[in-house]
Amino acid sequence: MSWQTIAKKDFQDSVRSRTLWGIIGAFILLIFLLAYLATDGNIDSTAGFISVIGGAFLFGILLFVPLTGLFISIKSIVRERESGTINLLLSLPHSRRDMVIGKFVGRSVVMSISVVAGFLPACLLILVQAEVAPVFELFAFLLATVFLGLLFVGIGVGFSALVSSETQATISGVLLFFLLYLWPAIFNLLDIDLPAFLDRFYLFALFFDMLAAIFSLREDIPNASIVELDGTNFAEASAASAPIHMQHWFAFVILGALIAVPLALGYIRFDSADL
Amino acid sequence: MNVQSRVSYSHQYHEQPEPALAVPVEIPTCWLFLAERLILRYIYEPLEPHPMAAIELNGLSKQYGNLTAVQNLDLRIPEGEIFGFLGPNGAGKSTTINIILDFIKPTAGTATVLGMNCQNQGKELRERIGVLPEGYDVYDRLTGRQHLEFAIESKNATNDPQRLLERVGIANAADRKAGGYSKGMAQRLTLAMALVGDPDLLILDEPTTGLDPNGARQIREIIREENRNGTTVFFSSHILGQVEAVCDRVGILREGQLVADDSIEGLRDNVPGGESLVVEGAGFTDSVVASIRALEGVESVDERQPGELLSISINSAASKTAVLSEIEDAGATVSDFSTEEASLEDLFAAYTTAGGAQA
Repeated sequence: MSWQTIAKKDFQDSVRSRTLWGIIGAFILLIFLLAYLATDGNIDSTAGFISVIGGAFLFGILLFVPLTGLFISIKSIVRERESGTINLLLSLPHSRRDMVIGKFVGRSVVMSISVVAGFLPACLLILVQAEVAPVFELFAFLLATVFLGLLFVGIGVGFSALVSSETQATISGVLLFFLLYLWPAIFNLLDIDLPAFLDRFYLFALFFDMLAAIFSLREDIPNASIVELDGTNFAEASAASAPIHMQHWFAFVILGALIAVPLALGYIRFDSADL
Repeated sequence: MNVQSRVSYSHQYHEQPEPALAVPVEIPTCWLFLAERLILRYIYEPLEPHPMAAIELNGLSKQYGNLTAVQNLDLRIPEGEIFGFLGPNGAGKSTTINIILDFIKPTAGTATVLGMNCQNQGKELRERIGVLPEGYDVYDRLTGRQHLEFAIESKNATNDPQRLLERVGIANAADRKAGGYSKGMAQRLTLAMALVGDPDLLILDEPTTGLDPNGARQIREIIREENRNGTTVFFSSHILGQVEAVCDRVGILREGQLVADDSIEGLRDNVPGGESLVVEGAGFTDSVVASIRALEGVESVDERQPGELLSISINSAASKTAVLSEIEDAGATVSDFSTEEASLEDLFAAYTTAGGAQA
């Protein structure tokens, strides 16, 4: 399989980036420090644990995941175009679609490893301090964070295929970084009330819905998106069943669309471009 | 590749077009015709494709806004040939090659490689060719060996990376990151990648760039070896001397158009001013020079040392004796003379500058 060969080569190439390891190293320290401060008391219940770990993870999700995700993806294709390595790659029997898929898969593996590496020391610290070992909850947090990371990689690779210079890539990377978190605030500011379904696209809602879907494997929590609930209080939620598109697991469908649409748009543009 | 059998097949077919059907019932002719078409389309043609050209370009054009990079280019390179694609920088050589590789889309015309369309069968055809593209860069963080492993895996080939690196002369740098390679080493590495999987066609865009004369000679040696094993070679250069030594045939591109497509000898014969008469003596005044210029067959007079040494460019219509006697009649003295064949550079210049030869 052609894209697998590209993904493998791409992984070998990008894990050797010193900048990437610098970013991961800095975040390991920061997240560890936050986890240390947040757990500097007793964790005696799962609910208490969630609020504590949520605080420690919040920073990572807000900064580490988008920064790393966009950093490793936004130039993944356009840099090959500007440097000319793409001429080597596409002289071999690979199509441009193979390249987009291979890049996405290769960088996704890098992203997953980065997230696990970035959060692992903090997770270990929490496990050591907690009285009840919250292994499953930690795992769920890590998994949801990895999925969020794939979202940024997908959007980043898509835009990298779409733009035609590294400068455009950098600009779109910075804009995406702010817009992906700030767009609900902009709508708020303009006093536009979005339908509840669109609120689900907000990255925090997406993250907590994925988390809820993973939690629901072990615990009995209402099957509804966080935007339908009153805050994050799972216990108080109504037991009434939500329509399919408002159930928590539907977050994965939204995630898939948010990854696939930019990739497809980028590919269509890239496929017809002169290199 | 058994070209002979294909030729004999098509020969037989044209001589006996009627299908040998001995059926007692009468079958309408149109049915027979249909049956014949179907048999041809689905049985014979897949088995015995027409003798293929390694590269075939038909009316190929590429326009960038008002700028024409390649204009209505027709070219056919048979299998087994070493073809040199010449032209000054900016003549459209790389644009043509990039269309063949589907890096850019043509504005008009078609490009076919080994019978496959470059624009919609690109992946399939690249399995059978080896490429050294222009304007490439190696992956800085991967080693030479990793580059070759990538190429080998991409082509489902079974080559030994070490042996390929030995062949291009960089085996000792196999495990160093390619980012630290010199331009010449990167060029050798890319050539090794092109050789992966025993390609039927090698497309080399300026393969000797960045190499010293010794390296350029090694590349020519590899080109000859590959060609002996049946590989067609298509390579571009802006230096005629580079292609002369190895090419069966050269095509010269000027401002996006093919101005010559011939062997080196053929090119020489077609260029007027292929010969110069060099005259040494005294008293070559302006009026003497002017009277020489007026002679039939004289194309230009170059005063190498004013008054003493002239280089007179002549074509086949000129008589050397007439030129020499004209000089003496005009009052100058000739102490020595010789003839010079046009250098390759002159030849190339004749084809690639405005007002030059049209073959």
